[in-house]
Amino acid sequence: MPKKYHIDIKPTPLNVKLIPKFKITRGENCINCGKCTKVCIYEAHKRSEQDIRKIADPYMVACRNCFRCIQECPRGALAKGLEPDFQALGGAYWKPDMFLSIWKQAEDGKVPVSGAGYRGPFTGPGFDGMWTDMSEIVRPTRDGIHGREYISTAVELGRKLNHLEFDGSGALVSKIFNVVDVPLPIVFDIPASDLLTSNVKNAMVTAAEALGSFAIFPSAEISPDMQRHMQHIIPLMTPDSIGANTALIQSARVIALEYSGALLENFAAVRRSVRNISSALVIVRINAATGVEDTIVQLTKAGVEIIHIAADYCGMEVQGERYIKDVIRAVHLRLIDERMRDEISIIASGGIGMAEHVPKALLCGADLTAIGLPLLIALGAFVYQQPARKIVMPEGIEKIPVGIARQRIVNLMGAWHSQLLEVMGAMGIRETRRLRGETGRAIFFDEIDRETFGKLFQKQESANV
Amino acid sequence: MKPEEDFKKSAGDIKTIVNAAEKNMYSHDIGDVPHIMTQTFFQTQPDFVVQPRSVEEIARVLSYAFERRIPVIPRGAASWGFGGVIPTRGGIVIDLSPFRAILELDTAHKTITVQAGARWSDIDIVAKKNALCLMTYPSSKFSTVAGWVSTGGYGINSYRYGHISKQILSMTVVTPAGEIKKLTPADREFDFFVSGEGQFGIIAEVTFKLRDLPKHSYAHIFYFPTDTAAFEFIARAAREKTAANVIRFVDKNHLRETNEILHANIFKEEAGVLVEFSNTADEQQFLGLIQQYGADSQSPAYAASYLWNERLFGMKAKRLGPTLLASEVILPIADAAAFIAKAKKLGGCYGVEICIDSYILDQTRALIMTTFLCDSRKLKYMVHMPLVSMLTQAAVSLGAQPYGLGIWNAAFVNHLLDPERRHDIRAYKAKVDPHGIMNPGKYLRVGSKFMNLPALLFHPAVFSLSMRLLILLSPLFGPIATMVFGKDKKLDSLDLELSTHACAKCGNCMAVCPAYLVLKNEAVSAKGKVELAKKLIAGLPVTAEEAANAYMCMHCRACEEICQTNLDLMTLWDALERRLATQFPRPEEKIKDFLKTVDASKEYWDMVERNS
Repeated sequence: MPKKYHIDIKPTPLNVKLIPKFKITRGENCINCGKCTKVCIYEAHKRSEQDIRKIADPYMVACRNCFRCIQECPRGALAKGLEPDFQALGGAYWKPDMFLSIWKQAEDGKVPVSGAGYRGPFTGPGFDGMWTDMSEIVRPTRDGIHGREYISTAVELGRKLNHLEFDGSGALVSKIFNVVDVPLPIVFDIPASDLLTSNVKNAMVTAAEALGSFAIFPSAEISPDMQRHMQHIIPLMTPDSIGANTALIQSARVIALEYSGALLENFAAVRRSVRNISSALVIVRINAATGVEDTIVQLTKAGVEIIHIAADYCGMEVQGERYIKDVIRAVHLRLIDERMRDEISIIASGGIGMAEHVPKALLCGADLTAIGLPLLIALGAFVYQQPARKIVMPEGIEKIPVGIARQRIVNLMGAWHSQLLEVMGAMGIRETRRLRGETGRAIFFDEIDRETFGKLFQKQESANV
Repeated sequence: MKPEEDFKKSAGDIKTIVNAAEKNMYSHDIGDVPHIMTQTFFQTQPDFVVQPRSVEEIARVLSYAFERRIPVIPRGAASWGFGGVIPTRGGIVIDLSPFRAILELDTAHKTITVQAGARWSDIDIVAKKNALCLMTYPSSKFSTVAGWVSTGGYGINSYRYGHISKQILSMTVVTPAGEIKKLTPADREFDFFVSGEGQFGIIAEVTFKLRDLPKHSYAHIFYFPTDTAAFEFIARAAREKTAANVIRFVDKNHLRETNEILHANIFKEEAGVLVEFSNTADEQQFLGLIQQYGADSQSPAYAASYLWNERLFGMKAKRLGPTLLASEVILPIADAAAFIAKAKKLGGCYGVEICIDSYILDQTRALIMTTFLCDSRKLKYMVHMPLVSMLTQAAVSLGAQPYGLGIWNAAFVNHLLDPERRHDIRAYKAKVDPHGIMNPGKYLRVGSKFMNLPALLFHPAVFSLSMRLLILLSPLFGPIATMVFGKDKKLDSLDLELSTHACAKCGNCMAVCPAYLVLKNEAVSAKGKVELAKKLIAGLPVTAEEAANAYMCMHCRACEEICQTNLDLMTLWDALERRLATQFPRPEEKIKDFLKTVDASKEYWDMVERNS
């Protein structure tokens, strides 16, 4: 039996200040009796180091919201409330709870459990507007799955043939394209930023290596010490700079090119110039925008084998009004219409912030997803949407050892991987490759809303007119 | 061999306090008598202090002392001001304050059995959790059970339930020879131990009655134009046995001081009568009587409730002092107004304002507490102290009984005990304590240093004569003293130094202090820390051991909550620690040990739970 894909998780706390969700306030009537220090099994309550006769402020990062201290305080001196700083995190898309979830997963690599059930709304914008159908959890499964160990999360980058052709003597005449296997449908997509210190970049690269995946880096960002890991780095460059990046291309398995109108016109020449350097696969990275599906059809016709559709950090088109999920669906369906879906692999990025977003993006038609922000959040970054996008890296991040930062990223991916397995197991799907475009396993709120109530309300609306 | 070493050798391993500075806490009581006076007359420093943990240990201590004829001074919360716990010629102080467990609550028979040092406040909490509560209890509710049985016995609810001794079912006592006896009210000896001031042995355990916890409390204050009018009304209400839990008289000066402390004009400055009921039937009956009689007016309900709830904090006026001197007597209600007039006149001679607070005891008698503010730091205090005795003298001249003897009231013994009773007492004392080891030098016979010469002053005949003379001369002498020494002004706010003097040493803090509970040493209680602060401020030398006591604190604020005089104690502790830090390194190890001890103490966690 071949070796199974396994992600080594290891509890890895981060020695930086995170913002806890709740705060416990200690009232004036606290008698420093120490009962809270005894009843708290998470050590959120401790005596002060400066003066052990007094109780220190609660260490809320350790708090698991069990409310025991509040119940047991003999004076009723403890009160629990939401931390305003926590509520200010993120924004409409990157909800504060997502940070908590990512921090927790990065710390222990386990599937996060909120504990008190899901109490939020059942639909919303973006990925929240679709549900995965996990009804197989209660009936015999299509693939006859019995456990997560039988599920493969591997996907392929590159062109696949519709069918194979053989000559009369039985010899294969079809040209087999070069493909690259990725053991989980996630690659890292790291934009250029001065927030990224060298230890963070190295952590991302080595984490990608540990996971058997890739990290996309702008070629200028790839420092010499990272080049040892070129097998897991996808250098991103403009077509013009291919010549200048010969060394990188030589050692890379995959490279990425920024899309431009010119590239569409002379793609064959550009592809040739890469092929002259190495056999690396080429990704064309294009912003999600109105009409992007047309461009992608043209690019596919021009011979592009992998396309990377990038939405903004909140999953919106860079130019346009669609969410990434809708863009992927549009592209996927269009390629099917053009009978060329297998000619190209699709990587989708932008707004992927939770484990569930990965299978959802795949169900919409992507082959892989690419993520960036969750990795930074795993390392303690705060992201604010208002008034404008702002990322704050934690103080002292440059001093965090690469090993710790890498393990936190690995942990996060381990947790996401586990959740992907759970979702697929419940769906009765045994291979992640088969998730692609499998809308039979997805429910789109807009569609069922229209199907169920559309006629009713249409009538009403017209009556109102 | 040191006395404590000999003791350990013979009596076995009983906890002692031998350190000189710490022993010092056990050489005085609540009274603000200048050391120079007590120490000149008496040897107030005990040889050592013992803290027995069982009745058997108490018996061992007493047998030891009996055999060697060493004086034994029983001590509780030390909140009685007549010198009852002050050693007069050294000896062993038996500190029963930490001997404070509540042994058994019998809810079926509504009785409770407690150790000598149990606090009334703790008992009330435990009782209330079982829908029961205290019957008669002292206004110093944080004092010990045996202490109050041995001294006062009249207080809140006396009007309804009588003297505390009426509620006692049995007492376990230890005789001076070390014999353990269980006495019930039927025993002839029982009466000697009630208000016995530790003369005949030690009360080790007490079983007494509780009552059902009433659902309601209704308090009223009625105002009268004069003290005479108020007492005429009270006399009638008492004569007619009008039902009430409490009838209490407070004069206009008392109400004015209450207003001053509150910085508000809540109470009318007139003679006030505070009454409290637990049911509306009693309330209506009383209101009917008031209507018939016609009081000036009634205070709003919130003011009455406030004064009622403040009943346990009678010494709050010390904030205005910082010293409060008091004379306490039991007087016929009929003579109360006359006495008050006389007392105020006498006070007037010395430029002090006399305040009256009185609990009606039964149909005919009232317990009257006469207080006035002064300043123990000033020379004029030497004039103010005798004024207390003059006030008591004025009362006994009107037929009053002193409320206990101790040292300072011993001269009034003839007004408390008739010759027959004195004879009985002497005979019983000679029988059980032939060597006179129990609490010597006070009560029936004051004894002092210098061949007992200073004690002559406390001889009833001498004392009475001199007091009468002083009263007679007061109209002349008082104004001169006031002219020479000036008139004390009331304080508006307290700085740290004044706070240390405003401490009433009432011992409330000891009842609630976890550090005291665990370490069982008065030096670590708030009272002890204030004493240490006083010493530091006075520039006296302090040892590292004493300094370490200041750090033995859980910062629970219980002392501050319970403080009679509402002192800003947490600030005081911080200041004290800062000041000590300049002389000694912070005793980190001791603090750690202290916390470990507290944490491991079952008593501590019981206290935390009890107060939750």
